[in-house]
Amino acid sequence: MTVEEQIREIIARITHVDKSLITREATFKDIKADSLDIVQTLVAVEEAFGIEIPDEEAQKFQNFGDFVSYVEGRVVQKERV
Amino acid sequence: MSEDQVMELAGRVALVTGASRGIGKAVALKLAGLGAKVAVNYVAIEANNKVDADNVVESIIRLGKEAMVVEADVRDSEAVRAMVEQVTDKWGKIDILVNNAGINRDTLLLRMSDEAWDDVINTNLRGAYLCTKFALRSMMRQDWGRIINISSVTGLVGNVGQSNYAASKGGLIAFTKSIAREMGSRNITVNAVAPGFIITGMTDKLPAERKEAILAMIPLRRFGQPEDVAELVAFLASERAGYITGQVITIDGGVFA
Repeated sequence: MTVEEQIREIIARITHVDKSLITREATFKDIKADSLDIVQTLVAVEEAFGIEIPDEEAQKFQNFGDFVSYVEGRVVQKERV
Repeated sequence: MSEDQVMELAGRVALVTGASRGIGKAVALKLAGLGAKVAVNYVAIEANNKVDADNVVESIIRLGKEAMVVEADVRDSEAVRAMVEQVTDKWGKIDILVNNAGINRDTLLLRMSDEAWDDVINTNLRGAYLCTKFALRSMMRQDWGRIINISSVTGLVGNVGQSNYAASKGGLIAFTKSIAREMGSRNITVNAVAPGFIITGMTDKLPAERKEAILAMIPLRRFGQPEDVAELVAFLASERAGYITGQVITIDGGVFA
């Protein structure tokens, strides 16, 4: 499974939203996720990929695509270390 | 006890902090008696604690129930993280968290050392914060959880010589109410119990005259037993208490009726 698919799975599980609605352009607001859904997602993604996502970074994500790109970047960084 | 209460916590996993003696021990035994698997936390600061915690686990196993010992200093973030992992690795989840670990270092404020202040706040309040933060992850995954914080009537009304303890226990009540609001949508309830005078190692140290004076103020004319508190905690941990959250329930024999 790609990073994108894994994150989509996590968001779908936490927000109970159909995966087809979680497009790269979709925002948390679009899928009616509340603040707790968002932090739960961040924590779950951190655990799944063994990374840390600082709040300052998370606040910059405009949509799901930004989130995925950020995590992809961090995973690559981690593999290099 | 009615028939349906006999094993009402069967299948549940509980973590009780400070469970080697006193109220924590009574809570661990009660939850196990109702069928929960119980992780008995203690801190390896005093030599007796490990022996006491082992004894609690042994008593539970003798009842034909499951229990494990987990050592951790609740003030230490990494230790708490490891403890929670130890429980979830073994039993897959945590359903019930009882934040009971607590200490007191009583003295009048003018004589209080910074160390006595910090020690009490860090154990009683920071400890609950850390255990709750890490245990919540498992509860959120399953949309079910019970958190019961052991506060004190001192946290509600204050007490001479206990400003540090009172601040920690009052803080625990405010913490309880906040997390109840944060976690309501995940079917996680968070409540506090505020025991009055309960016979434990913590209260045994009081002089006899002081105890008599306290007894005279208790409408039920007896000191509380750890088992009295354990009954209340077991109820709050059960399915039956599913619509109670963000509350602080006093259990003091009627002193603050």
